[in-house]
Amino acid sequence: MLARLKWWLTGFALVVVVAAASPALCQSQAVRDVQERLTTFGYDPGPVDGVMGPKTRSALRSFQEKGGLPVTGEADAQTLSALGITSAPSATAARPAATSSIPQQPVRQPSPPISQSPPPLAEVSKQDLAPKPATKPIAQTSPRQPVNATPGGGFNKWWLVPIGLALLFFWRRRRRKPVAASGDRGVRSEVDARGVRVGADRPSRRPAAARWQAPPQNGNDFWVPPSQSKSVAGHEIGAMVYVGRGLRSQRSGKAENCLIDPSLPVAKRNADYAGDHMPYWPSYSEIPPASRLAYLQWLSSGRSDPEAELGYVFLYFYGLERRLFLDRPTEKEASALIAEIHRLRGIYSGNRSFDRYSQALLGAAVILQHQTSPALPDPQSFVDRSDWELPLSLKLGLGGEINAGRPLSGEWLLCWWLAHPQTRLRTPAKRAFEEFKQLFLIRFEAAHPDGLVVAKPKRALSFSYQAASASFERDFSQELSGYPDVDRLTRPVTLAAGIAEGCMDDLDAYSRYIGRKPHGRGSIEAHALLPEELANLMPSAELEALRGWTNKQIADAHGVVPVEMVLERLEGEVPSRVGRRALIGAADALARISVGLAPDPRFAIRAPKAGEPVMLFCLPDRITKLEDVSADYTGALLSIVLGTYIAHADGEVSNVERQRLKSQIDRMTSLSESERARLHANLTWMVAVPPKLSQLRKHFDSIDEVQKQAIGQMAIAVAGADGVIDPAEVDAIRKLYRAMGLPEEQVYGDLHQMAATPASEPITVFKAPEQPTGYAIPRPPEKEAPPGKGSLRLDQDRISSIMADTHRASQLLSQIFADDTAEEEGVDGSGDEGIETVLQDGLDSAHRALVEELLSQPAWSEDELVKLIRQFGLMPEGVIEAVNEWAFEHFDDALLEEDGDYLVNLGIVEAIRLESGRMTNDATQYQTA
Amino acid sequence: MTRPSIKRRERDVIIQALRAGVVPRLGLQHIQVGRTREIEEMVRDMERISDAGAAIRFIIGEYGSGKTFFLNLVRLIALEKGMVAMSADLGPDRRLHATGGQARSLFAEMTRNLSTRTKPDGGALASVVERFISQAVREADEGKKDVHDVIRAKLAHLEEFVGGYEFATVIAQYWQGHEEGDEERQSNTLRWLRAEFATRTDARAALGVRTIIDDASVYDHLKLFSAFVREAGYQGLVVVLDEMVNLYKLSNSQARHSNYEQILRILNDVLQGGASHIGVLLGGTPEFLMDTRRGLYSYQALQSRLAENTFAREGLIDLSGPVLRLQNLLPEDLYVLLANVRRVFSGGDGGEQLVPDEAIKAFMSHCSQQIGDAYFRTPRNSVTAFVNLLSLIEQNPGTDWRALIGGVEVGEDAGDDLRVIQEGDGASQGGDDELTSFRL
Repeated sequence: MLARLKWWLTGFALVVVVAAASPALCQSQAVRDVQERLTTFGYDPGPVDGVMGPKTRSALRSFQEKGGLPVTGEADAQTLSALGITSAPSATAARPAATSSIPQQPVRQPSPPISQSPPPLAEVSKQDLAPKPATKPIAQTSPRQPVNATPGGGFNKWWLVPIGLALLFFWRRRRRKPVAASGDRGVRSEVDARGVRVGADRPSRRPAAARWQAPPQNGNDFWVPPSQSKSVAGHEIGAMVYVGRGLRSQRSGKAENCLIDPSLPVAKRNADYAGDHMPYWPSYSEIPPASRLAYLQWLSSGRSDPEAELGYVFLYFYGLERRLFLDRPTEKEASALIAEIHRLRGIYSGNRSFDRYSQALLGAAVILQHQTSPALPDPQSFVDRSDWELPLSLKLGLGGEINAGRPLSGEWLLCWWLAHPQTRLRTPAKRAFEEFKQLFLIRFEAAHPDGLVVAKPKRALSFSYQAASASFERDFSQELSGYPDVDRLTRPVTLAAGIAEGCMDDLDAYSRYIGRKPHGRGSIEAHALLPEELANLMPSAELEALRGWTNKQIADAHGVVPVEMVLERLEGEVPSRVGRRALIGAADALARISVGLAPDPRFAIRAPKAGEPVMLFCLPDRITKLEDVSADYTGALLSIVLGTYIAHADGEVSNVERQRLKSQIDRMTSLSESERARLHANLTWMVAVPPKLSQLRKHFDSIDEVQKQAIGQMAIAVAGADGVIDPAEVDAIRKLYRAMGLPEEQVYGDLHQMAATPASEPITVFKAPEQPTGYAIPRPPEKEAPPGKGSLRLDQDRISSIMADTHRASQLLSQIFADDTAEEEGVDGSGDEGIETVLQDGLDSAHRALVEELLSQPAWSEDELVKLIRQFGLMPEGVIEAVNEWAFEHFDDALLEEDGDYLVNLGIVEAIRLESGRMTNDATQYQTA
Repeated sequence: MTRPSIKRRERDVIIQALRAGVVPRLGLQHIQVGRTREIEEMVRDMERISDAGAAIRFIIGEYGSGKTFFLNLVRLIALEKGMVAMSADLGPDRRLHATGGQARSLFAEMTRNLSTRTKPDGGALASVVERFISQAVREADEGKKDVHDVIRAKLAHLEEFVGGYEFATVIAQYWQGHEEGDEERQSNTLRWLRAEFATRTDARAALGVRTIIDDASVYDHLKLFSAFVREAGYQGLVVVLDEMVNLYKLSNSQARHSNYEQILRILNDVLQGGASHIGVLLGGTPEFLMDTRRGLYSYQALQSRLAENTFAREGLIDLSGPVLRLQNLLPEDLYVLLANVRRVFSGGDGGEQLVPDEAIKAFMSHCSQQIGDAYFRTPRNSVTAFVNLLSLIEQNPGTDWRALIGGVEVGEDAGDDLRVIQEGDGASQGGDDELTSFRL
């Protein structure tokens, strides 16, 4: 609403105000000015070249359209005014107000927002913050205040008065109301923050603007130096104020607003302590007597009532400000003035408006005090700042560094970033500023060991102090000549922001902890949360003590310590219960001092319960992120858990079993050294605290069939490692198979397979390295990849070894089944013992006779045979057995073969015939038969 | 080192047996694949038995790992070493211990299968008895003594054993029946020895003895038998029991326990020197051994005796423990077996091989396509088909093996055991017209 109203008013005023005469813009300089302004307001007239081209026209058109002006596309007078350019620069330049020898006595109101040029205020203020040299020629004619600047425009003043008053009314209401209502003085800054006030009653910051101002009037005659004191209207108001009549504002020509005119009436009572009648821009001569009374009372009462209305403080502040910048006090006095400002800040800086103005004053005072580069400021001082521009002192400092050709140090850069208007400081940086600062410096140092080289910007630093009283402006161009303006440099700030964001991220956890436990700084937990770079920089006696303690535990007890003891050591009290979070915190803290804690609840199948031990062990290096492990780690851990589970089955983990598990870990080359160390520790822990199958079960869901088979194989290998498969181990494996959903019958086959495999070829337990992801677990030695249907792969080496084995077996068996009679006979049968000898060997006389009889016939029926045997008084079965046994002994075959009838083995007959010539006839007889 | 040559007779026996899918009676040395150490160990066992020692072995292997073949091989080795072998498969109605006659049934089966070198196919009970008596008669003749007294004297030490006196009496009865030409008495005697008398009453009526071989005394009588065969002139007794998994399958834990107790008793006797001239081979599957709920491991006393020394430690394999594990067959094993078969066909190393090595590989590929892994896990049908293939090529010279292999049909092994069957059966199945599983 307000903005629209203002807009309307301004437009209306301009329409009325602007002089009719408007020479066509033909000069290139004028066109350039127009283009410049258009660019400033955000339109696009193309390059600033002084040529009235189509782009410029179209930009003008859109400007006119936006501004509610007649859309002509020409830079007519109306448009020029709207742009803030007087219609005829060349014509008006000859009669500037500045030429007047007497101080201007304008009729205008102290704060005429109407003089503001029409474009959106924010843009103007932006422009103000970064003055453009190119606009200087325009500024000669005081573009912002065409009304005042144009002598012939005096008649307009009367128009302006009511409008200005109306606007002032709006401003006051807007500004006062919240202050009065809520007492929150911060609200005042809302107005300031928008730059409205700056734009509203600071006509211009351009140095050239001073040209129309009267030369500063020396205030020495009015100033009450600190050594003296004045009394006004019966109030002993003390020193450091201007008292008297005639000191005029450089800008308005009215009485200086800080000047205490003793001739003005002062109320006797009903002091306006609340400042109800105080305008936003108070002036002693214009405030009501009741307010004067309150002001004088404040002055005389030590100027330190924290409840005082800020208007009074400002009134006082105006004087100090004027004294410091216009009267050129001695250095001593300047110091005293600055000290007074500091004192006031101590009381009233809670008000952001005062804070800002006083800070601006102090910043400008720096230039007066030290012309050379200011020292490095304390970065901390920027933490709570929220300014619209870099503080002057910092600009000076940075400029000085750049001027001297020094690369920027981390501290400078940090300050720059902290003070930068766009910087948003998050909680970690505020809450843990010292840590943040250190981290920033370390990281900057790491990235830019030689500092940051910043090229000297061409733009020179310019600065003029805008008095809080709005009554004067102090330009420092001379003092600052040669200093570059770093304001527009973005690269260093962006770079710093990058580093700072990372630092804030990494400090987040730490900051939260500090937030939870404000006294936790320096504790082990807090230390554990610090980024790694800071860990060593932030010494912690607690941590050192802990290191000593853990070393002792590892040395004395091999690291096996009750879990409560560890937590008590870390947290300072015996925990009521062993929580997961506490354990994780403990593991992280210990990892800081290169000590591991097993089990780590993030990975372990289960966390230790109260009363159980945990395992402390040395890590090969400091680890800050225990949760970052390689893909194989969890799988490897699972397989170790299973192995331990199986090994535990028989009640104890034998050395061999433990050794096998250990060597299994050592073979996992895909894991890092510290991961293996952690596995070893977990193994030791699980040996002490046996895992349970129920805890494993949920882990089985995530693994596939091949891996299950592999796990089974590994479990079996572990169970058999000590050469004894205990029934309890078998039980455990069976349960494991069942838990994994493998057929239980397979257990025995697999166990058998493992047991029957010759030990000369070791069981492949772990083939981890090649496996890209998932569980790096052993694969079964053989069954794992059975030749599928149709594929035939034969291991030639295996065939050879089987062949050799077969050969040996064959030799062995042939010795047993050998038909060695012939050879023996060959040796023994050289004599002529004949059949007698053969028959005598193993047969008694009855059998001998029987055999000779048997040989007489190629075949015997059962009846015949039984009859024959009975003739010899023998038993048939016994005879056949004895005779055949004898035949086996000598001829490696039976003599009588039963095939319905009994057949005489012709081969043996032949052999006997060969042995004994006596048998020739018989043999021939058989053959013929 | 050349491999032993193959005799023509061995060749024929092997080929016929393999064709019939049974273990050949002869020439096992020509087809046995590997397992030298296991065989050596068994040979040592046999020697120990001959040497008045005793042995017990649990032959553990999965189905198709060649348990039965191995048991048969050991049995044949035992026979060759002059021992008597008794063998039987356990089953639902044949157990080591029972109350309903199942143990007696097992004993009957064992005695029916009692074999000697001369009667390797079983049915040698009478032979053994008569051989014993014959020797007694001879001694009696030589020493002019009464045969009966000699028999009694020779069996006197049997009387130390449980039931020894009755046993001696029964043997004497046999002689008496022979003397008197009382064949029924002889037959009754054998029936008694075969545990075919179900009641004592029947036994007393038939033979005048007061006891019989019953469910509770199976092992006692095995010991008596071992002593007896020694007296008959044999080196010892080897008892081969297969399919022990049938005990594992017993659902009644009490019954299972009783049977395991019997095994424990045997084990203790053997390990503590309480038995001599006897060897017991028990064939079973891994779960029979290791199942902690129903297998041997469920019986603590057995488990502790069996588990020790069972496993290899760091590079050594220990086969001296009671458990002997057979590895599963692998394709390579089958390859060597088929190469052996081919060698048998050609009669040894000298002859020209019927088919080249590629033919064996091609054949195996073909088998694996047809029946998957079973072709090497349970190789009986594969071997049979291969033998048929070779026979065909042998009898039809010039046939290209490549053309034939594609047509071979290999059936899945139904899981029957390889067992020695009557030689005659093998012969009858061996004809060319029996190529039922062979199609061109």
